[in-house]
Amino acid sequence: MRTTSLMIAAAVLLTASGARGQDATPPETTPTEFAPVNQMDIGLRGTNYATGSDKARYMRYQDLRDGGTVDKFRFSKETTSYGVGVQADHVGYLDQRFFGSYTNYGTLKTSFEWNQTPLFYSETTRTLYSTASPGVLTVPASVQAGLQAKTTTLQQALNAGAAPFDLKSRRDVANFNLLYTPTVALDLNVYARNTNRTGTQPMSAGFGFSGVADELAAPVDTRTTEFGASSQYGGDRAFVKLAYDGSFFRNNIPSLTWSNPFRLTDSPTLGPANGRLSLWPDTNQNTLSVSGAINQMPWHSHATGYVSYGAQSNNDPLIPFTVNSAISSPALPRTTADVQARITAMNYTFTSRPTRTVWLNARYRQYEFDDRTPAFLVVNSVSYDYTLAPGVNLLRDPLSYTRHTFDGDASYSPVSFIGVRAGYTHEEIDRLNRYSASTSENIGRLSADVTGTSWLNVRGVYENSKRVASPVDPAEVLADGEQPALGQFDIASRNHQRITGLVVVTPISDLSFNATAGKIKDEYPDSYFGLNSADNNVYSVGFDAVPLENRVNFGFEYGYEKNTALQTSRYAAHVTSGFPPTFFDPRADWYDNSNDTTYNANASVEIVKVIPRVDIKVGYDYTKGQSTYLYSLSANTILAAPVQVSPVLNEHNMGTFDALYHVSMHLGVGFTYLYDKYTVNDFALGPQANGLVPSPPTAATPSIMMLGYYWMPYTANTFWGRLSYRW
Amino acid sequence: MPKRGDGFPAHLVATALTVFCLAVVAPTAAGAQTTGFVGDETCVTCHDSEGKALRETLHGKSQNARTPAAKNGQACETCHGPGQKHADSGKKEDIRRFTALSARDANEACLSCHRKGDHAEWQGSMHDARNVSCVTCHSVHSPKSEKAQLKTVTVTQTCESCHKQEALKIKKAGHMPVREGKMECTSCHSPHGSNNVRMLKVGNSLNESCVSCHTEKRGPYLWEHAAGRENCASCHDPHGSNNDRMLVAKVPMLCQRCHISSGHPPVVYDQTQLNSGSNRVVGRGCVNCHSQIHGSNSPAGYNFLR
Repeated sequence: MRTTSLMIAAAVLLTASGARGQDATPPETTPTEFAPVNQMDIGLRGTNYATGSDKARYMRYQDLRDGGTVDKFRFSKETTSYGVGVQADHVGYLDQRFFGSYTNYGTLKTSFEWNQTPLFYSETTRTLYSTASPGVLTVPASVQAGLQAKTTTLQQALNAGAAPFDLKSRRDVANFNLLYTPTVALDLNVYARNTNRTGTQPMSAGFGFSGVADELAAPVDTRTTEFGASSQYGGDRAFVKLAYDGSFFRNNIPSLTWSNPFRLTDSPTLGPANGRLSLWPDTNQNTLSVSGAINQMPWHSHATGYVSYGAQSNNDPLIPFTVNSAISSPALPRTTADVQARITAMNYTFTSRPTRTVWLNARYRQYEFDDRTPAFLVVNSVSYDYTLAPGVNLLRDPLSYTRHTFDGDASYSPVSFIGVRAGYTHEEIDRLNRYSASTSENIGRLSADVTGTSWLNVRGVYENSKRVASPVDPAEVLADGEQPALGQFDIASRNHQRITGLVVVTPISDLSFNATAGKIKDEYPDSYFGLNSADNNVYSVGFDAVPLENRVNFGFEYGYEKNTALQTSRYAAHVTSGFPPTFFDPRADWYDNSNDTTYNANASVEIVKVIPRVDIKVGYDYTKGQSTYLYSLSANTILAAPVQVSPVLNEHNMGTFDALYHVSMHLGVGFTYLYDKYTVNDFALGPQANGLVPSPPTAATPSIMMLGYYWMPYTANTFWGRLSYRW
Repeated sequence: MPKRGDGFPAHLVATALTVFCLAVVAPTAAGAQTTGFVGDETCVTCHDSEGKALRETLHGKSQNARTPAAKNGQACETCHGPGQKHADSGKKEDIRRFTALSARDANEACLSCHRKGDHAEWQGSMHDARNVSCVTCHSVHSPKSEKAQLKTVTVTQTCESCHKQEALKIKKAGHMPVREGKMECTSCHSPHGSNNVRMLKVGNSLNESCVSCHTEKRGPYLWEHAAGRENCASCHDPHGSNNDRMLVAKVPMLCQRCHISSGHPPVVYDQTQLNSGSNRVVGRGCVNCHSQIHGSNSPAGYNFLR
């Protein structure tokens, strides 16, 4: 009792002394105001498009419509005791952003942001469907009747009745953050974020192998609400942090029902009048975490620990197996999804610098995804809302997994500007209900860094890893109708090598040259089928010059990346029972050699007031992507020779010219010209792709009704005049 | 009568821990040091522009007891060390210059204050392991960015000085709105280290980072797509791709890397198939029918058709 009292008294005394230290009064100053730098641009913008240009793809994530602009509004006021900031960009447009912050130095930091990001898919899309109610898309009954009676064709119906609409969506994010520091040692943080997504997005769905897949403008109306709070207490020696994070996703349109253009009435054998699918369910995620660190240990050592525990849930009501009234929908195993998962994560690190030349680091990380959903057994089902599928007897497989990762690194710096490092990682992943129950990977790495000199910067790393997957049970794979020699590349045995290097040479302070090179080689030695190998090669060279500091600078960069992959498959026709005759026949093997190459060059020049009162910026960026998919067959093949698909090409040219004339210290007159040209040739997504599209008709025997959302070319010239006011 | 305290002395341990924690975390008083220190007035005699620039940054707000400026007229020497010798000799070698120090020596000065919050995981992080110095990216006296006191105007410009490959990917046809200014590298990554893999800022796994924005894909679903449950990057390249939806390869070829079986999965989708308008290759390929590819909540959705 006496011992306890003494200890409590000692704690109080120490707290008091610490508190005095925390509350040390800064020097007396009277609040003064500094000269603020505020800005606002008001302008006018217009764009000229070449005929047939895809305006939506030009804009994509930006709203560049013609009209007046209020942009780059910046207002700030700072004193010795507080600071206020207000920002606004693209005011009045779909990509507008507003931001405000208040900081009381040493006590409070708070901010709020409203940020809109549009996603423009297409302005040339057309659809037969109209929205009867949220999540219900219908075609006119006359179309269904005509197609059912075969008095019209789908192409004729599309040409006559598909209505134009803009395919687009938008993400609006409201983000609030508050950090309160009542004492030097204590930080209290709360945040709230709300993300609304609205609009439409392309989504297809079909009615079976003999039907047409319908590309729909699926409605999007979702909200994600997140909030969290944390308290962090500590000082120079140690800190502890407790945190809660909550995330709640709500979808106001939980299912999508759409008309079958070919059926006016439900039939148990000829197809449904409608189809119905489940859209994204409402989900919740709650996470508690505790973390801490101990600093200033002997040998410049530092340790951190982090543990979090989270729960995910999805308990949406289940839609019936089918919306086809002519089929007796099987009984649901349960009325709600009742899907649950628990997530446990840990991260522990220990870093030490026993001497100035030696640095050591060890880390252990664990992540466990534990799917705790009660068993869900589907005895009978319905396929495509079209036909009853009896005797499915499919039990839901929980995909739980646990990952353990250990890292160790040691770095030696014989002189201050050189560091060589050796490291090792061991990772074990145990999985439920995958063909390989576990994988074990060992990774070795070496790196060298020459930094800290004014004229040379060199970085290089080499990594070699070997991942071994546990043996696959061939019977299990065959039971799924899959090839036993299949290696699913995300869990298959893999040999991985990576080497990258970066060199920056600065012979004089005004000029630097840079070059990078990298190579990755992945091989899947146990995967006869699936991905066999994947390589990546990347190079870049460039230079930057600043002949007149803060007045003239220019630079150029060229980059190249090539990804190649080899995958193997075996053709086998569908049979109703047993294995197809070619399932075990290597003469039916085929190979796909893919090659994805990207070239990029960009140049920029900035000239500031070399011409009196004038700032000029000029830039050009060229990117070309080319992908090929080359099919080949085995030497004694029984398959017909493939007709190769054409390469996929994307080419983007973008040039910018910006000039600002400073009329006075407060006023500038600016002009911007943006040239943007995009060309594309895509066998699946370009306009030449076969499919039913609204006028003009394209294909003879199509099996997909499309919206007309393709990857289309454009050429755009945007002109932007502005007044820039500073105060 | 049993003595009080039989069993584990939890109350004593709790008290001892309390005393320990309070002693450990109690910061030292922010008093001025005297040995070898000359004070800010002496420093700005020669380095006036640096002094003025400092006052306009958060480091110069003396009201915040955590800043160098709160240290009783020793704002400069809080970071650069005692200045007496340098003031006497005028030699730059006689003062702590961050560009002349090894990365870890330079970082120790910054970490003496910046060791909590977003910086708590710096030590042992990938950048720390590769000898990246705080002053590689940040400038205390002459920052160019609107926030975070970077040496470049934007975050992306800072990162791409080393990460050239990712900078190139951002320019590909399939990309996130980074080059449009709506996102930047730090939207996903924490360059100062994190508890997540790949220095991702949010969550405890790669997927948790992705679904922090793409929450509709989070699930968990009634029917899960195994490849996507564990790793979004099995199918998507988050930095950029030449393919639709930022996929690492075109559909159906991507899907055929895991799905062989029989029927339509192992078909050679060549130009002949295209000419016939096959919905397995035209448009979005497999996803024309298997549209709920990230997971389905329909009882009939085990093949992601519903």
